Amino acid sequence: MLRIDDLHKDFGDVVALDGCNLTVERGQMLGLLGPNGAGKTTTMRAIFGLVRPDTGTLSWNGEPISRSVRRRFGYMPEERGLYPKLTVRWQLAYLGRLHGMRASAALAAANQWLEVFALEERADSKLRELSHGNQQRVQLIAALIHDPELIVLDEPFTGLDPIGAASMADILRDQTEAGKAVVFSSHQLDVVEDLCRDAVILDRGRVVLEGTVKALRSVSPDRYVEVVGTDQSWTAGLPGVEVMERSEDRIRVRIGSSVGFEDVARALARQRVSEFIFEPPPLSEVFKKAVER
Amino acid sequence: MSETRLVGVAIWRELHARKKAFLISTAIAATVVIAGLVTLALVIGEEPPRPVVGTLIEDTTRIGDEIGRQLGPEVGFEMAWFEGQREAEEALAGGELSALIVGPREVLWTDSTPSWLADAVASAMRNLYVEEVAASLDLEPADTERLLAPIDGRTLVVDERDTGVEVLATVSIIVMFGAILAYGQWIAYGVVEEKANRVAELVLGAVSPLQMLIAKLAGIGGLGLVQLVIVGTAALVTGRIAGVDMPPVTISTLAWLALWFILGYAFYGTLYAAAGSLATDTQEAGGYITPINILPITGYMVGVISISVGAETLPRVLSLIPFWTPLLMPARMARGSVAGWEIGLAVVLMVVFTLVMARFSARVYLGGITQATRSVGWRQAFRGGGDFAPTRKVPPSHHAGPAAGT
Repeated sequence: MLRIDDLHKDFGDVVALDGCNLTVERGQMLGLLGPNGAGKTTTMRAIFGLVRPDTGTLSWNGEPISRSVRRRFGYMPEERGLYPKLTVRWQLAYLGRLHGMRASAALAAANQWLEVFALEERADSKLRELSHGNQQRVQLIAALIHDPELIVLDEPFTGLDPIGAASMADILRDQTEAGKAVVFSSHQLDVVEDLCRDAVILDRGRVVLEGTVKALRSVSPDRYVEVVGTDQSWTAGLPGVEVMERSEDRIRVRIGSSVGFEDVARALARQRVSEFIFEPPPLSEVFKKAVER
Repeated sequence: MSETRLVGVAIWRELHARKKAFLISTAIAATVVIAGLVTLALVIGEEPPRPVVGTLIEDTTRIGDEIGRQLGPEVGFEMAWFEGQREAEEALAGGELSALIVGPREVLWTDSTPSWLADAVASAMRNLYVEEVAASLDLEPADTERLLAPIDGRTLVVDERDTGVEVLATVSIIVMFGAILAYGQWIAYGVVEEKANRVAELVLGAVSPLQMLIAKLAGIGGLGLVQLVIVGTAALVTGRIAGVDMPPVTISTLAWLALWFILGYAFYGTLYAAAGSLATDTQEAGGYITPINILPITGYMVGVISISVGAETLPRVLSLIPFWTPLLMPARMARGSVAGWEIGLAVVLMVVFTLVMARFSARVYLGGITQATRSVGWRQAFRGGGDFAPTRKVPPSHHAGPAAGT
């Protein structure tokens, strides 16, 4: 289990981390959310020793994270980085060896992963000759090649097309099911909502919300009601209704805590309704509320 | 896998990444050296044209013998008789003749006539004239000989400089200068490339910045040493085959050169690595590298100029200052103008200074390389590098209490 306790880090006058705490268990996929400058990248860099916290501790399975422990972690930095002039297979094998693998095992793993990502034909191409999406895939392989126990990915979905994103999501699911601890940051909240059971929202270097995605959404008193039907007058009788979207036969509204499901049901009782959705706010709404200033 | 083996893996990458550049640069350097020596051998081996002395006096044999006596047996020349003066003077003006004997007391030559030939022809004609006058006066042969007795002229050697030794001294300065500059740039640009490509972030998760630095220095330094050996061997073998007088190189000379190279490379290599770690891209790196380049350039200029003008004091002082020791001390040793205690002092100072500089540069490197997205100043990087210094104690870990999310 990764445990981060009370992490503080200042860069001059800028407070990057202000008592950050979080835990990630093996077999868990955690989405790390937060606005720009919230401290997500600093937290990840601290895990890999690229930033030394002013105070606070980091541990893996109860042990301080030394360099030898870190070699059992996989990392995909926000600023992607590999050797553009080296061939794909060579540098993947090299990175595997740097993480403690034997040469033959590293080469075998590189070949295996290249096959998984359908990149075997580009194995002996220089990295710079690959498309952006393929370079991103190679970058993910670099994080996975040594079969790490903890996988930390900073904005892994940025720049991927929907097929690439789906493929990346499948790999991360597989890794989680295989018992790996996975942490990734993303501004694409729908991806986090789809992929993660758990999420943490950081703001100004602190955790402002954490828990399962379901719980985070449910905590909000607001609910969204979407109704398909010709008559939209039912909203008039309900207090504190905010219309979010409206078309000829569809309306989506946000209702506050003063209106319950029963109130909505009563208002709609005499309406002709072909579709009806009553749900907690999406993660994006929870996020906005959590970090609004 | 042990930490040492990981450094070995990182060195392996340095070698792999520079394989092509190494082969190309070694081939170019060896070709230039071989071509230069072969050209030199051809130029030295070429015989100069034999000078032709024209004469309007028919008795060319007697005159030729006397000129030959004046020039000595090693110097070849030819005699040519002309019937008409005009034709002979045209030949002299056209460069076919080097000198023209117009009469027993009259010799012509041009601006381009070598003075030794003009002197020899003039002396020969004077001797012949003296012999004629002596004969007309019925002088005894012994008296005639006394009149013609040559002056005992000797050369007083005032400059005892040995050309071979000076060539060796100059070559050692050029080699050290070239090696420091070339391999220093390899290091600096290698570092900045890793930083610019952001790959340093990935690698630093597995190996420490110090291990990365050691691997880079060892990898490039190893290639540099091999390159010097290959080019040096090519030069010695070519020189020997082509018959060029080579400088007096001994095993001891080579061993000392290797030692100065290693010390100089270690000193400047860490400095160049630190400079590279401060920049974010190769263009910016130039701004950090140029001030460092000034140091070896200064040493090079002092060394080469001192040899050409025979200066002693400035190179002697500078050769004891570690910035310039690797450039100037090998040259002074080649010229034999250095005392044993000076060599010992220079080695000690160089080792101590290299260790201090390596520590400083390593810390700057650590601070710079971890700032992946921005360039930093020397002071800022030095401070930042303290965070990663291996001597700093890691605060004890505590695991009490769950994460306190809000």
